[in-house]
Parts: sequence; structure tokens; C-alpha cells
Amino acid sequence: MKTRTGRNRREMIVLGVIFAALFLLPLLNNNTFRLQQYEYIVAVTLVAIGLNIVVGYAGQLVLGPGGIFGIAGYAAAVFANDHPSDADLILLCLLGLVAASVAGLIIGAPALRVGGFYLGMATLAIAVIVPSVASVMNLTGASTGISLLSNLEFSPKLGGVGLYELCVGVLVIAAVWSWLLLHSRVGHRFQALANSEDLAASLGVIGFRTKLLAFVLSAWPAGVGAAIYVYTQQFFVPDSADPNLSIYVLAACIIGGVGSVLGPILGSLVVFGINEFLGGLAQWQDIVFGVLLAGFAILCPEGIVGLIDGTGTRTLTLPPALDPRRLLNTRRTAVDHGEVTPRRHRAPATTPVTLDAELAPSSRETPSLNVSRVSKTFGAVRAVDDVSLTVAPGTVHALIGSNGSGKTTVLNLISGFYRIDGGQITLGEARLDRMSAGRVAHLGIARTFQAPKLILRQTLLENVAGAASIQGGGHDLGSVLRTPAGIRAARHANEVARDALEETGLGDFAHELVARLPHGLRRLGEVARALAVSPSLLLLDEPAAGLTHSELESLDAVIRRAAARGTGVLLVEHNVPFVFRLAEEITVLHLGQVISTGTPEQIRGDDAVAEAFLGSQRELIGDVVPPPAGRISSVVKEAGRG
Amino acid sequence: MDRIVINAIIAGLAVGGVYGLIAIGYTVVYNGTRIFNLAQGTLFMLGVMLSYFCLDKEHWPQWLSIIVVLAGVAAVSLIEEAVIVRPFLKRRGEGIGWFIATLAFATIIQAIVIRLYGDHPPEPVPSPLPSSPIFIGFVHFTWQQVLTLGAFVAVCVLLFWFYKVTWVGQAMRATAADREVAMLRGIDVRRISQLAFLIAGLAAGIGGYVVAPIVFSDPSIGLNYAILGFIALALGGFGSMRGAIVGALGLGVVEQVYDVYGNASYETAVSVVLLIVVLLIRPTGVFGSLKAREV
Repeated sequence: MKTRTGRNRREMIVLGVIFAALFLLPLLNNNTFRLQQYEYIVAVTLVAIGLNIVVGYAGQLVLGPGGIFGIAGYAAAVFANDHPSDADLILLCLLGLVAASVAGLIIGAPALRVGGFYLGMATLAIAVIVPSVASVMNLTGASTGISLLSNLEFSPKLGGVGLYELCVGVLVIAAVWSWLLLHSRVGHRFQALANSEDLAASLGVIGFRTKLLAFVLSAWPAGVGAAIYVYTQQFFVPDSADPNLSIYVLAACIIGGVGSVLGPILGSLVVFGINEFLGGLAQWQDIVFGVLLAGFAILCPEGIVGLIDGTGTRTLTLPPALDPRRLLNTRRTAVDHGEVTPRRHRAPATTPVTLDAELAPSSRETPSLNVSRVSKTFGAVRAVDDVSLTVAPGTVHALIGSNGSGKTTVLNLISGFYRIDGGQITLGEARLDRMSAGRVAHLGIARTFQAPKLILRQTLLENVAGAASIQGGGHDLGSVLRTPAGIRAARHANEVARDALEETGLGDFAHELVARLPHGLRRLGEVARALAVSPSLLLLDEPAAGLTHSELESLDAVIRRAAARGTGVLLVEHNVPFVFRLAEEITVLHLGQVISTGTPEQIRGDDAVAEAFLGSQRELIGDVVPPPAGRISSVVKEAGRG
Repeated sequence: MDRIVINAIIAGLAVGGVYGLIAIGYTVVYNGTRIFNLAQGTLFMLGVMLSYFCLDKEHWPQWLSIIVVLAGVAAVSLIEEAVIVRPFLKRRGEGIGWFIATLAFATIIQAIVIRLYGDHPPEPVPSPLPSSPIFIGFVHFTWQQVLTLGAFVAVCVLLFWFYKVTWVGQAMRATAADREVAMLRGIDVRRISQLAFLIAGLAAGIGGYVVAPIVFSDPSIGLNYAILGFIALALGGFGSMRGAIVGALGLGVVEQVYDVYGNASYETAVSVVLLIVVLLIRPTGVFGSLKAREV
């Protein structure tokens, strides 16, 4: 547990120091004016914590947190002005939270339909019109805003240092909540989405719903911050939600480091601290912040936190043990000396047998996959033409063919990434071709991607455990609040992930950041992630490409064991000897059509296959010891092109 | 139809022309670089402020002022390309940094302009045109409106010609269609990116110069126009010139017709509501087919 835990602990310590300093701040200076300034900083720091949830955790481009802040602030101020005797801090906070949630839903739902920079521009537009509309509406006090100071009936029960400490208490709660959220299955969903929408969909995450959840959750701290602003500053005017606020909060998140719990808090204290306490800078302030914002966005996307950690810099040096040259040497020795026992990776045979129970398809009965007469056209290209195949539970079915023959397209059709143009795809009774990718994943269909889609800034274990927790049982709320059931589910996900890593021979690298791993290990990591969700059907997209000899051995064993547990495996692969050793049944695609189906022996004897696909290199199929993957696949590719 | 409404429609087309010049800037840059340049509104503001500087402060003649304004805005646009955008073009597909970087650039430019302008209210910018309105029957409009719409139409025609006829324009279209294939074909994508920012800068400069007499010297208008230009695009459909033109003119007309019946203070709010409604009903806009998802 070195890399990641050390990082977490450091983050906790810095947060602890910051909060302690904030609690002790009144010792320095406790006149009313200063306290109000501190309370203002607490309020906007809450907004930054919120923005980080949607931008940092879920990777959605929101630029206008000030819009929600403004709406919630006016809601709280109008209420406090109309019901001055009822307006205590807790009620206002609740009101702010509700107003922010409602506004979040109304703004988020349309803006997220397109997503991307549409979301950024739409939220920015809201941030611009909230103060401009408020400055002409009578309800919000028009251009003079709402002043609770001039409302003689409004007499806050709290004040002075006590109020300030309470505000800091709220900030601590928000930070803890943000941490719990990040490390829950909800947070895992967000991070999968931030990393790649395809990855998230393959794990059963419904994109729109998850983005909207992130957006609404990000509104919560902003709403509470707005209520604290109203209660402590005792006014809310159009300038309180100036569009510049949005840009400062965004700057705070980016400068501090988006995606971590600490980053936005640190950044907010820096940005708003300078804003409030360095008056001399005022005239240069926007220029300085602009330059800092651009500089961090371009040069150091992980902010100050990333700088401290050293993960912000892009140079990913491999630790000596992972030097690719050494892995290369390992392979050469293995081939040269005819050695079969892999050196660096745990031999699959030594893995404990108890694994089987953990990774077996969970109590779902395992039906067959049926692809029947499926077609898919892209423009004028008929990429998949009348393809049928069946994958029975517990068998390995391989799909081979030259580049562009439609193998991956078939995989994408099955897993719901593309819509079919004709035919049908079923798993038992379920019509997969009518489902979105997320729904398909819910049926226990796991897939890997040709280009590994692991989250680079997480460890291998975090990646796999995250997937397991997203797909595993348990309740979202329980997971965030760490109820006993939630903790059990998290622990179980961790165990399953560990087992999956052990089984793929990656146990030694569990705590290594993915960014530091060489390509072959990432590819195996993809397989481990797919296994960790106990799939009933496993779709593997060229898992063997670029693997070393020993890694190939691991992969071979892993696939065999998955099949032995009853999982159906559909294997798309260029490494022909690997396929012929492993598969019970092989389907050969050529230009989108099935030219042959059968057992390896039948395919071996099929003249059409030899003619169209393998050319004069037929003798290679007979190889028992797999030659290096690169060579054979390039031979096959060339044959396919010819 | 009521004559007030007809006059509002004419005024709307002129206002739409302004949005259109910004929307075209977005489109040209996006097609050339796959980047949505948030600073487009700020470049427009720069055009307005430079016009104010040349015409009101320095009393330079119109022809010299036009050259200075266009050169100035185009230069800043090219600086943005070099400093902000190029680092992101080198490493493709990395998160949301580029978007924030263009916002940061807009903030910097605006802060510098405010600093140079000083803290005083907006001032009028002298117009070369007669201020008396033109009457045709009961319809009336101003020379200023003719100039605005004329400038927009001229820019559109020039761009269509450029894209369709010239070799460079065709290369830009190829880049827009498929960046990788364009590169394989030997198109220098970096030059295309510079060219896109040059064209967008010129469009913003023309817009700023033409509208300066109406909007006055207000250095804070950048963000507003950035948003209105975006709404125009979202209405018309992102990525196509046709969408940008129709969306911009449509938005201008809706806005001006609304002003006849409603409270003009809510003008921008109405545009935003329109945006939300369109996103709910037809997220890709009227002519849109393009998924604006690759960030």
C-alpha cells in the first residue's frame, strides 16, 4: 500500500492542518469585519467544493457555479426577509440546498442533453443572467438587492466567533462528504465517466442520469454556501452572484487541483484569500488570476495538489522493476531457453482455488448469446453483413479475420455501443439489440477495449475495485454514508478485485498507478477489470496484442478458468496460434461476412479460409509453441490484406 | 402585420448580424481545430474598444481606423492561437483544459482592456454614417443597421467563396471533416489552425468596428456576446455555416420582436430560455447533425 495510501494520508494531513488553522483564525483577529470576511471565504469555498464534484470527479464541463449560488442565495435572502423571525442558519441552509437542487435539475437536464462545451456555455449563460434578471425583478429587490441589515425584525441568534466556528464546521462536513462521495460507488461511477464515456457504459453506468446526479450533487454545497453567505453578510445583491465569482471559483478549483478533495479547498483559500486580503493587488488581480488559470490549465492540469504529489507532471518514469527492457529480456530468455514458467508474474497455477467461488458468475443463470443475421452499415460500407454466431456458456468462441473485417464492430453491436441495422442479438430471452450499452452491461456482459481504458491516475487495484463496486450489489446511499452494508459491499469489491488481479498475474502491481504501467500489463488489467464484475459473458477485444510470452500464458490460463466457471467468452484476436489453442469454436469474418464457422480442426482444413484469409501461411496454424505475438499477427494481417 | 413588428424584424436582422459574426468565428475555429474558443466575444469587445480608441481618442480617419482595428484584433487572436491553443493541439483529447484556457485568455484580455480604459462610463463612438433613418413606405431603418447586416452578408459570401473555391479553404474543410486523414494528405494542420484564428479574429474585428457606434465603449460586454453568439449557434445547429447564419438571424429577430411586447431588461434571459427550450426539444438545433460531444 505505498503509492496511493501515502498520497491519501498526505492529503488528510494537509486538510487537517488547514481546518485547524481555520478554527484558530479568530485568535488572530476577531473583530466583526474580519470575521465576516472569513465567513465569506468559507461560503465561496463551499461553492468550489461543489464545482469540483461535477468538474473534477465526473469530468463534466461546468463553468458557471455562480448561477446556482445566486438562485439559492436569493431564495434564502427573500425567505429571511419575509420571515425574519423564523430564519435561523439551519433552516436557511436547508432552503438553500433545496433551491440549489431544483435549479440544478432544471438547468442540468437540458444542458446535459448535448454535454461537452454546451454544458459549459449553458451554465455560464445562467451565471450571467441570474444577477442581470435579479437586478430588474422586484421580488429580488431589483438593483439594490435584499438587505437584511435594514430589516429590523431580522436578528440572528448567532454571531461573532461562535457563528464563524459553526461555518467552519459546515465546511468540514462538506469536505468529509466530498471525500466519502469520491470513495463510494457513486464516486467510482463519476470517475469512470470522467475517464471515458465508453468505459462507463461498459460498466453499466447510464451516462445522462449519472451526469445529472453529479450536477445536482455539485449544487448542494453551493446552496449551503449561499445560505451561509446570506446569514453572515446579511444581504444578497446582484453583485453577490457576479459572473466573475464563477470564474474565480473555477480558477480556485483548477489552481488547487481538480479531482482531489483537497484541491478546491486549497485553491479557494489561495484565490479568495488574495482577493480579500491583498488590496494592493486589486488592479492587477484579474490579470494575475487569468494568467494563473491559463498556466495551470495548460501546464499542470492537476493543480497545486498535483505539483506536490509529482503526479501533475506528465513525465511518467517507470520504476526500475517495470523497465520495459527487463520485461523484454524476460521474454527473450523464456523463448531462448524454452522456459515456460513466467519469471515476473505469478504463475496462474499457484493461485488459490478459492478464487473460483468469488469470481463465478453470480447466481445469474448463464444463457447463451445468440447473434443472428446481424448487419451494420456505415455510410456506404457494409461493415457487418448477415453475421450469425452463438456463444454457449462455459465455452470460448473466437472471432478472427483480417483488419477491417468487422470483428470489433460485432463486439460493439453486442455490447450496445452501435445500433444494428438488421437481424437480432439475444442473451437468453433478452433482446440486447434494443438496449443501451449501460443496460447490456447490467445483464452481466463485460468487455475489454482494444486501447485499454483504465483510469491512469488510479492504481490498478482502485480501477478494478471501482468497477466491481459499480457493478456489485449495495445501495448508493449506504456506500456514501458507510453503513455496515455499504462497508461490506466495498470490502467485497476490494476482495473480488484483488482476486481478479491475482488471477491475471497482476497481484504484484495492484498498488501501482496505471500511468506507470507498461502497455502489456494495462491490457491484462483490462481483462482483470472485466473479470471482477463476475460476468456471465466476457467480450475480449484483442487482449493478446503486444503481450509478452509470460503474459500470454497468464491470459490463456485466465480465459480457460473463466470458461470453466461457466462464463461464455467471445474472443476477438489476431494472434492465430493463441486462438487455435484456446477456442472451442471459431468464426472467421472476411469483409463483414462469415466465411466459415467450426472447431479449430474444421477451420484448419477449410480451403475458403486458407484462400481468403491465411494465404500461404497455413503452416503457422499448426504451431504449438506461440511465437512472439507481433510477428504472427503481422503475418496474418499481411495475408489478410493480400 | 403590425408595422412595429416589421420594423422590429428588420432591427432583429441587424442585431442578428452581430451575433452571426461571433457565431461564424466560433464555427471557423471549431472546424479548423475542434476547439470552442470562448474568447470570441472578448475579441469582439476588443474590436469595439479599438474603434473607440482610434475614432474617439485619436480622431484617426475611418480608413486608418478600420485597418488598425482589424489588424489589432487579428493579432490578438493569433497570439491566443500560439499561446493557448497550440499546446492543446499537440496533445489531443486531454480533458477540459483547453476550454478553461480560452476562458482564462478572455479574462486576461478583458482585464487588460479595463485597466487601459480606466474606470469611467461607456462613451459613444463616432459613426461615419448619417444618423437620419431611411423610410421606405411605413418601414424605417437606420444606415447603421444596413451597415451591420451588410457586413455580415459580405463576410458570409466571402467565406463561402473561400471554402468552396480556394485550395486553402478546401483544405480547411477537409480538416474539419477528418483531421487525421487531412494530415495524411499532407495538409499542415497547424497552419490551418492559425488561419482559422486569423479569420475568426477578422470577423470579430469587423463586428466590433461596425457595431461600436451602437454599443459604446463598454469593456465588459465580451462575455455577454460570447454567450449570445453561442446561443445563436445552438439554435441553428453547431458546426455548419448555414446553422450559424440562420440561428444568429433568428435569435436577433426573436429578441427584437420580444422587446416590442415585453420588458427589454429580460432580453438576454429570454435568449437563455430559448436555448433551454431548444436543447429540450431538438438538442442538435435546427440544422444540426453534429454531435458536439468531443471535448
